[in-house]
Parts: sequence; structure tokens; C-alpha cells
Amino acid sequence: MKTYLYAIINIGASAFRMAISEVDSKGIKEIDYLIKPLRLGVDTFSQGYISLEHVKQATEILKGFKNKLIEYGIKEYKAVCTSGVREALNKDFFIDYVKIHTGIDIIILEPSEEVYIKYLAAKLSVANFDKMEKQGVVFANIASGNVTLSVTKGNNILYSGALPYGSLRLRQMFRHIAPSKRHRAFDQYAENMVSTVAGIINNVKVKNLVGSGSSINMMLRIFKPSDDFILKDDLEKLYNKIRAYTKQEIVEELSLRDDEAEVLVPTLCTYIHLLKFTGADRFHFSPVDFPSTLTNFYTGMLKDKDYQKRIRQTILSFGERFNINVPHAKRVSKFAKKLFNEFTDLHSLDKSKYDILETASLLYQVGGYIDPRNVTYNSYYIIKSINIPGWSSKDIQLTACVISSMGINKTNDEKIETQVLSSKERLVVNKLACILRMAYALDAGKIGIIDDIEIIENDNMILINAQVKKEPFIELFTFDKIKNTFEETFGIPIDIRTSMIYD
Amino acid sequence: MDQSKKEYYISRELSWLSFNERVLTEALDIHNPLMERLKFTAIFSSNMDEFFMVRVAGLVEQISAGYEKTDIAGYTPEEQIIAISHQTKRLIEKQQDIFIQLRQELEKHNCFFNPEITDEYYEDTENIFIDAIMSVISPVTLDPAHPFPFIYNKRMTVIAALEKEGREYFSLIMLPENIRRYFVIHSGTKRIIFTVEEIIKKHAQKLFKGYTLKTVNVFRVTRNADIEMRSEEVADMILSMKDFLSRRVKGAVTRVEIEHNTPEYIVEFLQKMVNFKEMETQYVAGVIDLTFLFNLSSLIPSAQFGHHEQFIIPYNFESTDIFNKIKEQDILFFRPYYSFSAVSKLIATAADDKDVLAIKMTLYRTNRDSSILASLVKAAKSGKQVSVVVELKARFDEARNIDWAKNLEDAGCIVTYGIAGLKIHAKCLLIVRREKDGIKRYTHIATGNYNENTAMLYTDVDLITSNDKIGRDAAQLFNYLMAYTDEQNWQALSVAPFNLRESIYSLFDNEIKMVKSGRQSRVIMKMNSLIDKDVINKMYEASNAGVRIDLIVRGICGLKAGCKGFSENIRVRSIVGRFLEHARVFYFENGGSPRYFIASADMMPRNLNRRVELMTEIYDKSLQSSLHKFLDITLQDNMKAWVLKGDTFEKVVRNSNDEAVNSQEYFMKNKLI
Repeated sequence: MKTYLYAIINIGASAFRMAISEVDSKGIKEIDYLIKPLRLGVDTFSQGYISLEHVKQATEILKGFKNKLIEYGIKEYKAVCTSGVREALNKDFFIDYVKIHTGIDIIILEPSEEVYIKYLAAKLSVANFDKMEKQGVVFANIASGNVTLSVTKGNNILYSGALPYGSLRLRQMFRHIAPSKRHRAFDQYAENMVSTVAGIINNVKVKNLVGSGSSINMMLRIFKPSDDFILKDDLEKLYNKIRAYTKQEIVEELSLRDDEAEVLVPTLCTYIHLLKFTGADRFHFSPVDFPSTLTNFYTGMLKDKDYQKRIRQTILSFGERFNINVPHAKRVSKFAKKLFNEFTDLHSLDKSKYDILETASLLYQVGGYIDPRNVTYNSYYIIKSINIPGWSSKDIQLTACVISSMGINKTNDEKIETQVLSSKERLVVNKLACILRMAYALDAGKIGIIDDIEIIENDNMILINAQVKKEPFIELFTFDKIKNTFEETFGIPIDIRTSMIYD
Repeated sequence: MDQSKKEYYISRELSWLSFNERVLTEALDIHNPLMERLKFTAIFSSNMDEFFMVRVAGLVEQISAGYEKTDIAGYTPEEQIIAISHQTKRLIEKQQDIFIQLRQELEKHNCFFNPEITDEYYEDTENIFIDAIMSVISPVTLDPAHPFPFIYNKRMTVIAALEKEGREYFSLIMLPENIRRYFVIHSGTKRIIFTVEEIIKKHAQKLFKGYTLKTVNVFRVTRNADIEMRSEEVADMILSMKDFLSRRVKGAVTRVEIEHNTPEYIVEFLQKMVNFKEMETQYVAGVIDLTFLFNLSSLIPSAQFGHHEQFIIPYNFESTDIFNKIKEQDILFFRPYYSFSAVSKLIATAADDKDVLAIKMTLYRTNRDSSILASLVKAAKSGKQVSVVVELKARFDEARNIDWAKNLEDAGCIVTYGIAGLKIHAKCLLIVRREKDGIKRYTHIATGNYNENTAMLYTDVDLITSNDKIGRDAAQLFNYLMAYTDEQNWQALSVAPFNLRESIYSLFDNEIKMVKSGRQSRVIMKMNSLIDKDVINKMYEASNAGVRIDLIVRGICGLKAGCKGFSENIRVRSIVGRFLEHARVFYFENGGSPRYFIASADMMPRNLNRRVELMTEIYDKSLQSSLHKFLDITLQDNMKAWVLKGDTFEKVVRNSNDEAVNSQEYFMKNKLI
């Protein structure tokens, strides 16, 4: 692998950061790091949009960062923004303005992507993380805008998402309350966050807390821990001492920057509540900062070898909460993946669509929990609201649309659900929905009569040879009903024949 | 130790005057050629001008603002002005006495200075007056239609008292800036030098036809030049600086030099009209403003310092691959003993090198015809990213700096003006190069400016290194100066105003720890000025703990040396010689594993708190031994050295048995690397 330079620009709610790294087969070497404080989040979290003054200041900072790209002749970079921009009503204007004035393309990092990337970094950098995972671990990234949480036990991700409890956001929300009692508001809010998560995970016991985020550097400077953890007692001692201090008093007491002093009390409060929730006496921290993590992630250096396995398990667990027929889901998934792989030349879709198809096949039944007569319709809305670690909201939406398009009553053009998609995306959904329909037909009776399939392809048509234990009446009936849609989608007829398996 | 005791410290202003006296004393040193002795007299005058324009001006402003805070030695601004006035009077008398001696020496070379204009010279001086002076001066005879004019800073002015029809008049002639200060008449083998004011005085009657000339005298006004930029003006630095330059002209009066034989009523008249007091009046029994003696030196070339052949650094920089050389070994050299062309060559090579991505440098004071600037322009035009952090506030050099800044910008360089409120004094060059195994940074750090002219006159130390950590910190420094980052995570460099002060404290604390544990400890610090009270107290603390400290301080020193109870272990020396001592080199014994540093910073509050300064450690053992020798020889100097006894510098007296050591001459003849 040839050495190349890669840059990450991270537009956070409190600061802009840039990491420039050399990447080669041996790994990543950071050669330059920039940080410029600019609290976009103050605007976003208090008034809902970024002020023009801050848009211009941000542009000036990014012009400087652009100079660094030019200095090193960097071609490959990613500029990502999180909640400070993501949640602003004028985020599109911001992104466009920056593009026009600096040439930098900013992409919005979805909360689920953000938490997944941060979680992955912690998993690879915190000692004994795997052991903690087995016992159950809350991974918390306390940033300015959001607290992104991932609750994992074993291979099961019980919860993953970004909650609007970030330290700067809290500080902005309660800015009108006097410092002497502002901490009570933080307390109530953090308690609310913890009980929300506890409810979602059905009060499953998790015993460990791992923290990350820009607040960690501040905590390290305050507590100067000799190991990779900070004790709850120390947090509480400091919290009780300074919780009613003014910002200036905190600056003087702890020699912090103004912007750090402002968010210290809500940060401590959040950690303490999360520790109470886990029952742990300490929280471990990930020393890796976000821009470095992003560099590792986007250059492919941060790999999660068990990712597919954990995601699959997490998806099935989610399905189980909606009483899906798990063996049926697994069989549909198996057939769908096989068809996807066999029809590569027909659909020309990339690997990411395989993941969407698999998820759609595992979860298409969840809507039955609400109304068995209208499964795919209800599934669409349930799926649309879930978070899958590492997935963008677009991926989730495509998955929901694939399920919604399984039925053959309406074309995709007519469905309200798919109308937000581009024509290219609708084409993808059509293809995946068609494959899912075929896979579903192969286990339409939900009792696993068809054991396996093999695909026979010639110039004129495709033939599915199904190995069956007994005659699959429902499957053949269903297949017959939908096989025309395959020809309409892929331009080639398809049929099925059965071969009996004898013991 | 009670650190509030003013007896422990020396007043900054008085210490500076003492330094300038050391400069003046060089004019007495018979080992210096005659014309160089005249130059030292001129330097003394030039230094005094700056002192009154900046330091005294500051005190005057403090007094008028009712500011009563005392200095390090416990003097109020008013007390300082009184002390300065007494000292200055003494020094000016000393200077004029020395000048009389030097005039006698000049006569031995057949050069005569301002002899009385008798018949022998009347015609020659009259011709000069009519041809070269009369046409460029404009006398203003005061009357209701011609009020007293504004007298500009440092402008020699003639005041003539006239009489016509029983009424008295005053006429003023402010000499234009471009008028020649002296004229040389050749008479056989003799050369006679007349100052312009002497010629005017002799022939002034020709200017005032119809009037009777009663007296003609000369005076010179020094005004406040240190008008601080106001913060609201910082938005566009260049514009505000241009404004600043024009405003500088009209400062308050801080000194008026006036001929000692000027009639009292004329002095009183001037005090009233120009607005100055007796305290600010400096009576000169001789020639006012001897700065012109700089230019006289060419009159007798044989009576100047001989040509100094600089050494070339032994790394074959001229013909081989510079970058590979630097990767092989760090390079350290000493200016002016070694040619600064190594740095110019490095920048020129970088400008031409296809693999160089970026060149960044700080520019504080540079020469107008700088080859470095030419290389930067070339590099920018060839598509490299060239970033220059220009410090516009280099005292009295602002106009020149603005010119460069514009030239560089026009060539496509990224020019920034640093951080408001922080003067950039660090001297740093960073070259970013793409190499086979990745990005490589080459850093040059020096104690002196990127100025090819002063590099031949000032002593400084330069380091060129490919050290990764130093390169990383240098990159961070430029990112900070160019407002790309606020990151402050220094790994190798100490940077003011962030961690340099703490680094110095921690080095002293380590020596204290060493001495307390019975291990070797010693400090040698060479610098230009030492006036930071906290650093001085740290030195006293170390001295009291038993650490032996040798300080080589060229200029201001607020520390008292060798005093029982607080500085018994501190010895302070000062070198004033042919070259201006400018290198800051620090040595800390560290229990037998010595650490060496070079820095751009002096130990002054302004350097440590309000300037961007750099200090870097020298790691290479062979370079350490060069620095050690440099310090060792400097400490052995017994020809140009002064030693501080309590609060008074005394010239080091060489024992007749001791070998004469002139450290600067030694370094000119003996290679350190």
C-alpha cells in the first residue's frame, strides 16, 4: 500500500478540529492537528439555527483548514459535522455557504453512525472492553450537543442512539436559571435520560461504563488519573463542591478555559447518573479523540470483525421484541442473500444493499405485532424509527421502503413511503423488494419445506430448483403469483421446480 | 527571603543606562581602531535617542496618567525620571569628554573637527552655505502671522535672536531631514570637518538682511515615539500601523538637547513654546547629536576593524543534497563567525525543490535586499505554499515591513500578521517536504533575525534540524500564528507566552533538587536582558540552595550579583565588543547530564508574557560541546568583559599573568564547529 495523506475535518458543536495523517499499510501517523473553538451549538441548541455571524466565522476557520489541505496537497479528506450543524434548521444553507466559499464538501454524520464509530474506537482502545461487553457495558459519548449511548451485552446491542442531553445543550437550555440551583435542573434532566434508556433496554443489568468525547480531555486535566478510569467518588466530590459555582469561579478554581468551565457541571452530572444506572464505581475512558477515530474509520483502519454478527444478533433481538417468527425470518434471509449473490449480474448492486436486503428480510414481519392484516405497512413505520449502529438514516429508510414495497398492490411510484426517494433509489428499492418477495415466497408457509435452492440460469430464463422435504403448495402458489414482477424488474422470466430430498 | 525588598533589585532604566555607558566606554578602549571608537560614541547617542523616545516617554505618560506603580527596585515613575536625568547628565558630559579625546586622536590623522571658522575657512564654508544649505532651509521669523512652528522629533533646529528697530525677534530654522550633517573641506593633506549647524551659525546673518543677529544657538527635541496601538484598531493591522506611523511624529516632548551657552531667556522661551521643563532640558557642552559619527568612519578606512572573513559551515551545504545532510545530523552554527548564507541557501534550495510542499517563516526584521525574500517569492510563484508571519511592530521598522508584506502577498504568499496583542519575536523557518517515507519537516530556529546584514554584526546561534518532534511543534506554532488552531500541546519546544516561563522554572527547580541531593548542579545563561522579577527570584532561590549560576547579560540586568543572603552564588558578566552580543544560550548541569538550549527570548516580562518566543533544546552531543565551548570562552573573556558587583558593573581587570582573552576575537579565529 502506497503512503498517502488523509485529512479529517470535524465540525463539532463547540469546536472545529482537523487531523492530517499519513496512511500506509503499517497504520496511521498523525502529522498535524488543528483545533479552533467555535460554539455553533450555542446557536443551534438555543435558537434552532446557526447565526449568520457564526456561519461566516465557521467559513473563515474552514478557509484556514483548506489552506492546510493545499499545503500538503491532500486529495482525500472528509469533512463531517455532528449535532451543532445537523440539528440546525439552516444546515443546508451552512453547508452550501461553506462549499461556495471554501470548496469544502461537508457531510452530515448521522447519530447512529457517530455512536457506532465512537463505540468502535472505544472497543479497540479501552483495555478489557470485550470482557465488559460480556458483562454489559454502557458506552457514553458526552459531547456538546448529544449524549450518544450504546448499551451492549454479549453480542446484543440493546440500545444505540443519540439523546439530546449534550452538555452545552443542557447549559443553553437552563441558562436562565441561577447557578446556585441550575445543577438541580441538570440532575432532573440526566435522571430522565437514564430512565428513558432503562425503559428501552427493559432494565437489563449492565455493569460497566465507558466514556468518550471531547469532555474526556478536560476530565483528564482535572483528575489526572494514573490509570484509564476515573472513580465515581472523585466525580461526586468535585460535583458537590463546584455545582453551584459560577463559570468564573470554576475557571479560577480549576484553571479551565471558559468554554470548558461552562459545561463542566452538566458533564459531571451526566457521568454520575450514568454510573448510578450501571452501579459501577468508576468509568473507563477512551483516550482516542474523535478526529483520529474518524481517520481510522474512513481509511479502513478501524475494523470490526464481528460487526455483521453483532448487527444480525441485534436485529433479531429487536425483531423478537415484536414477536417475529425467527426461524422463518432466518430462512427468508438465507434465500434472499442467496438470490442476491446469484443475481449479481442482473441487479448490479453493491455490498451495502446486501446488508439492507438482509435486514429487511429479518425484520419484515415486525409490523404484524400491530396488525397482522397490514404487516408491511406497519413494518415500514417501525423500521423507519430504529437505529442500527453504523447505519445512516438513508440506509434505514431504504430498508423500510424495501419492506413496504414487498406487496404488489401498488407500484413504488404510487406508494407514499417511497416518494421521498430519488428515482435511482426507487430503482434500488424495486430490485431489493423483488428479491425479498421471491425469498418470502420460498418460505411462504413459514414451516421450512424448502430446504435449499439452486439457481439455473440460461439465456432465456432463470429456473430455481428448490430442494423440498414435501410438496410446497403454498410456496409454489405464492411464487406463481409474483413471478411476473421479477420479469418486469429484471427483464428475464423466472420459474421454479422442486426436487424432493429423501433421507 | 523577602522578595518584596527593593534592595534585591536594580532599576531597569538605570541598568540600561549602565549598559549604554559600557557601550560608550568602548570608545575609550585603545584596542579599538579610532573610527570604531567614534562609532561607539555614535551608538551611544543613537541608543539614547531610542531610550528617550520609548522608555522615558513611557515614564512621562505614566506620570501624566497619575500612575504610581513602582519598578522592580521600588522607584516611582517620577523618581525614575529624576534618577535618569542625573545619570544622563553625567553620561553626556562623559561622552563629550571622550569626543574631545577622539578629536585629538583625529588630529593625529590630519583630520580636524569644527575648528573655528577663521579667514582660512571662511570662503569654503560660505560657498557650502550658499550652495548646499541656504536653498534647502526655511527660516521662520516669529510674528503674529508666523506662529511658533511644530518642532519635529530628532530634528536639529537653529534659533536666532534678532533685533530690528529696537524690537527683538526670534527666528527658527528646522533643518530638513535630508540635509547633510557635516561637510569635509580638503586643504592639502588636511581634512576639516564642519557640522552643518556650525556653518549656519557662522553665516546666519546672510539669512536675516535688515536684522541684527544677536545670538544663534542649536537645539534638538526628542519626542514620544511609543504610541501603543489601541485594540480596536487591530482589525486591519496594516491600516492601523500606517496610522500609527503618521501619529508617531506628534508625540510629547521627552528631552531637549540644547547648547550649554544658550542665553537663559532663550531657553525659557523655548521651554514655554515647545512645552518642556527644566528636568527635560539637557545642556550639551559640545556637539549635539553625535549619531553622524557612524558615517565618518569611511574617512580613514585604515582606522576601522579589519575585514572579517566568516567561516563557512562544515557540512558542504553548497554542493550537496542539503536535506539529506540535515537528516544525517542536526546543524548548529554561530553568527557572525559563520556565514548566515547557509540559511539563505537552505531557503533557496527549498524554493527550487520539487518535493517541497510548503515553506513557512516568521519575519521580524529583515534586510531590504534580502535574498531570503527573493527565494520565498520564487517558491510561491512556482506553486509552493509559502506562509509568512510578519511582525509589523518591530520597533521603528514598521514602514519597511509593510513593504515586504505587500511584495510577498503580490507573489502569492500567505501573509499574516500574527496574533493581536502578541509580538512575534520567535525566529523560525519550517520546510515541509514530501519524501519516499512520508512527510518530513525541516526546521530552522535561531536566536537572531532573518537579516543578512545584521547576521554579520550580531552574535547569534542557529539550529537546523529534521527532528520530528521539533518539526511537529514548529508546525503547530505556525498553525497557531496563522490562526488555524488554538492547540497548545508542545512536546519539544518551549513557547512563550504559553510554557516557556514554566520550562525555565522547572529547569531551575531541577537544579535545586540536584544540589539538595548532592548531585552536580550549575546554570549558565547568556542573554541580552534580565529584568523579570519572578525569574530573578527563582535564580535567588537556586543560589540560596547552593546552585552556582553564571549569567552573561549584555544589557539590562535587574539582579544584584554576589550579595550575601540572596545571590552569593550568582556571578554576572557582560560582554560589549565589536559585535552586538545577541545569542541566548542556556546551560543546566542536570546532575551531570547537561542540557543545552537556545532561545529567542530574554528574561523580561514582555518576552515571557507578551511575545511569541521559542526555546529549543540542543540534543546532539557534538553540538552540545560546541555550545559548551562557546559559553566557556565567553566566561573567560578578560578584554571586553564587565562584572557586576552588587548593582554596579565594573570592567574586568586582567591579571598581568593571565592570557588575554577577547571572546569575540577568539571565535573569529577559532572554529567552534
